[in-house]
Amino acid sequence: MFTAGIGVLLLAGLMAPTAATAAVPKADAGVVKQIDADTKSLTTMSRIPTEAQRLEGMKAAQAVEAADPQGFAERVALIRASSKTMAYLKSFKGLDLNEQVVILASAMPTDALTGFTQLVQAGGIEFKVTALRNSWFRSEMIVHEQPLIQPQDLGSLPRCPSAWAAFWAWFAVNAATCGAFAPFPVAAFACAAGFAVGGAIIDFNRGC
Amino acid sequence: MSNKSRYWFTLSVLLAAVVITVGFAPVPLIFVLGGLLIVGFIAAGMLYGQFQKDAIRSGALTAVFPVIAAIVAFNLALLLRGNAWAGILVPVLAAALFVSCFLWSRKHGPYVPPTSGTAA
Repeated sequence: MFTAGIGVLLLAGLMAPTAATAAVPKADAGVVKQIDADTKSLTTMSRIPTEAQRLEGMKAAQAVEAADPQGFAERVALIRASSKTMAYLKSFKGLDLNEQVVILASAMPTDALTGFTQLVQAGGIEFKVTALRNSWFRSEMIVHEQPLIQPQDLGSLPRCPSAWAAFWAWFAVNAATCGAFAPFPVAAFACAAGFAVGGAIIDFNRGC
Repeated sequence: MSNKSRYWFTLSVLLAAVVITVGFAPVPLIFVLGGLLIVGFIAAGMLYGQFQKDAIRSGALTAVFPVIAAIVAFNLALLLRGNAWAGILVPVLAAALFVSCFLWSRKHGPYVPPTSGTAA
């Protein structure tokens, strides 16, 4: 379901450089290819936008920003924090990167963009952009479905070094605090139980 | 069964119950059950008359092994939440904590008989 959602999301505009400014491909413009059981690719063609299209795109982005400045800033920060998303946007040579970021931030709701940047960063989605003649680009989006399924089976288990670091920091604080009550086991057990229950709302993988 | 054995049996059951709760209970139920279990630990201490300042200060009630075992087991249960293997591993962990704490307490478990003014 998530993969299907991403597919719709991307077809809705992400495959285009600067979403709005470069010629936005239509939903039926892509060529879908099944690479293997868990990997699909979607290839679309797009071209560098004209000055009029670029201005129109920026105007639309400014309208979105004016309607929700805080959400817009949050989306821009999300994009800039994702090195792989930034690399994807940079791969369209000849386009202004800041405009790319602004227009992508205006093209998607925050939740969708969060999921998208996380997937790109985790390697669930890869992009390959090739510059063609006459200001055209070929963009290939490769979707790996396997990584989307595996994390659910792992539950709360840390999935990256920063998650393990967060867990061990939590464990150290827990042990140091509750271990101090060892002379009175009842209090130490109550303390440890409190920490464990509180830990249930901590997402150690948030930093991954 | 002596008072000491009953006291440590109660604590061991509560420890296993915490592991099960942390491993399986969804939010927000985990907070309700966790709160009840914390109250349970305190109540067990009071019921068996273990709230004795002098005994605590002198270290007569110190129990390092079950405290460390509980902290480790609770955190393992925390890591297993939502895991595909939780259905098997969490009950095993709870049983291991219960058995190890109860068996340890039979030989090493600290217990100070209640004095006048303390319960049981």
